[in-house]
Amino acid sequence: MLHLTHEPIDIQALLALDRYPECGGLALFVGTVRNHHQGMSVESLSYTAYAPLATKRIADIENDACRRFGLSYCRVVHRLGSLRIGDVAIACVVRSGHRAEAFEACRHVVDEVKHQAPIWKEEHYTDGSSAYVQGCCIRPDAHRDTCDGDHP
Amino acid sequence: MNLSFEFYGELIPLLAGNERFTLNASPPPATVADALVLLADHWPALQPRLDQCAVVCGSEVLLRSDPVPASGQLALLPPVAGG
Repeated sequence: MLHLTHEPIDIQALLALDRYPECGGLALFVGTVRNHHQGMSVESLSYTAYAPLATKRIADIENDACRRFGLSYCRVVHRLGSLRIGDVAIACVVRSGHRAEAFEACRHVVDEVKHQAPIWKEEHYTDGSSAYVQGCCIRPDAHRDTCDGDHP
Repeated sequence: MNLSFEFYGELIPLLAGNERFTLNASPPPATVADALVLLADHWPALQPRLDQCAVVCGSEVLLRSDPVPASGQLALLPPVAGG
């Protein structure tokens, strides 16, 4: 399965339940489209990406997490295109020997993807307006005072 | 040389919906920073956002002090907000 997809994410296929018998922990995070943001009523989202770097960074984040947390398996898929309320935007699965590192790694990986992968979210509101969500600067040589943006 | 820029995310509305822009630079810019000066001359609306943009060629992230790639192709990536 690709890291970026315009098709609905097949979560069951991501779980890899028929593999990794050494694993007793599986953590799954699924991010879905919610109907509000900062007081605005959201009708839909549009996700776009710079694929050459986004796919590389997601793969690097997965590999780094496997080493750092001793995981047997780590997989992230992010949806692109137009999404409705309730649609799955991102799914992350990690499998490990025990639950503690699975929970910790899953949160770490999702945070890293949100902050490092060149993906953008445009919100479309029920009043007909739209806006891009303010995000994290990924310029490597940025001055600290010009790139202090962050998003949860 | 021909400099080809690609734009993403919040940059596109600043450019009246344009996702690409090409200019002929003579003399060619020495560095990525020089290329961005030429870009801002054509699109002043970009100027306030350039400091927060990463500049990439393919999957390589460039520093402002790096030479402009021989291909002349640069993509500008504003702050990211996936998930």
